[in-house]
Amino acid sequence: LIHKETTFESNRCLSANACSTHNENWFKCARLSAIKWILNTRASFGFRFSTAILSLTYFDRFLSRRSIDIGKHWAIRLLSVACLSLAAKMEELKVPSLSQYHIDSYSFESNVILRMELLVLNTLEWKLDSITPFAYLHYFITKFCDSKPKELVSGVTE
Amino acid sequence: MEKYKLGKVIGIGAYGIVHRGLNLETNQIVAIKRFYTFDCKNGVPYTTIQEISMLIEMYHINIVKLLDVISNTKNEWYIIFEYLDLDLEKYMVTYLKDSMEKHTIKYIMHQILSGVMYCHKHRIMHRDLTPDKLLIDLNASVVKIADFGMARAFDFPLRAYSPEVVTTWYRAPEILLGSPVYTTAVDVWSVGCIFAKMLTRQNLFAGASKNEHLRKIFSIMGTPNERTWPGVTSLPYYPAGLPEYYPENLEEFFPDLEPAGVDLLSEMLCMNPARRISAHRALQHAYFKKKKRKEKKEKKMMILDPIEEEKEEEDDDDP
Repeated sequence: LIHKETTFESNRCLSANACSTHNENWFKCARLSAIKWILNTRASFGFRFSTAILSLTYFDRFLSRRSIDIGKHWAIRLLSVACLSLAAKMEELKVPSLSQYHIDSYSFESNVILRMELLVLNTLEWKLDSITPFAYLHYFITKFCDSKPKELVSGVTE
Repeated sequence: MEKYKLGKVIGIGAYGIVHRGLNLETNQIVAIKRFYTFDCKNGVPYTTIQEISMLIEMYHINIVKLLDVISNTKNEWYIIFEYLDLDLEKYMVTYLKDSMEKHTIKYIMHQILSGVMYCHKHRIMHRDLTPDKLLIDLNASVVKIADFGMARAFDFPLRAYSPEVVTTWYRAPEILLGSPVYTTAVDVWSVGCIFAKMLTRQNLFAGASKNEHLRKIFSIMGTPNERTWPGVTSLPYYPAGLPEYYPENLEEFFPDLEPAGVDLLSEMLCMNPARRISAHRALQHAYFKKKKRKEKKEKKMMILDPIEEEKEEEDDDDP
């Protein structure tokens, strides 16, 4: 696991260095808006927080391997939809159909989202079974404190 | 797909068709799972995503290897697996004709449990282990777990999963009773049932309906109660008005099985999932310990030739 993690990280660093600062600023904003969209959509579908985090790791891993042209907000949004949909399919018991994802100013056809899903799957080499800190959270919380683990968990996850 | 040549159909599933195929570059025979075109409404099916993402990171001699995932511009999808001659179901019919092959059964059990332990260590439950999902390579005498279509990654604490998963005859009692939470112990139960089937070539618990099946399990393993399995009586499908069966002596069902084997089987078929033996502990059980000289001579005559000694697990990263 650690080996896998480090290889991913090193790939990411390489591509990050290649980016200029101007690009970085744009991506920071785009990423932030993607996070906002993912969190809002998570809430409206009632997904677990871990699903949102997972989709964000897909998002970051995708962008560490492929680039999206500056200014293509729609591409960022399409990527967020595909990542969240994939994360939901890995984590949730009930998964909404693609047309149920509301994407504010853009309207993507389901088959466009499907294609993006496939592109993400290929780019991530189908390695979607990532471990997030959530897998360990409950374990450590039960280890560290005896009382009211529920409240603490929701505090931490938010 | 230019690399592969599609051959005859060897299986049909809910999501696609499995062909025999040939890798034209290496001349290796492979199994090719061809997916029906994905429906646009729901995108890539979650079963496909889960199955591939699990298998792609599994490297174990007792787990079928996923070799490649291929797509083309026409939205067609193929997964390439290693190809194996036959499954345990057919193997039992063709090769395990008399119960003399004790060593072979032990050897197969050891391999199944090694594969299951590997899955569990990588936080994957198979959830649908049956003899036809265990593939056998006769030349290399290796058993491999296949078909992870029902498998699921789990995390801690265990949460609710969909209830109807395992093919009934190999289904663990906690699933039959509708427990919303279940663990890796469901796989151990299935392996226990497969063990029993190899010994007698009959299903130990075979009920036509779910209730009949439960009754059959209770009549042999004893009706569970709050003392033997805390919480069991409040499970959704705990049947009311069933007689209080006492556990039968498993030895009587398997007269040819050595005592250590009977003990292991009873530990794997422990009704209470919390007390059921884990795959890891099962592999350390006395049943697998002794290897008599006599058996080693005997093995040469068998078709599934257990030449290789069990391979040690090399990685021990716990989930």
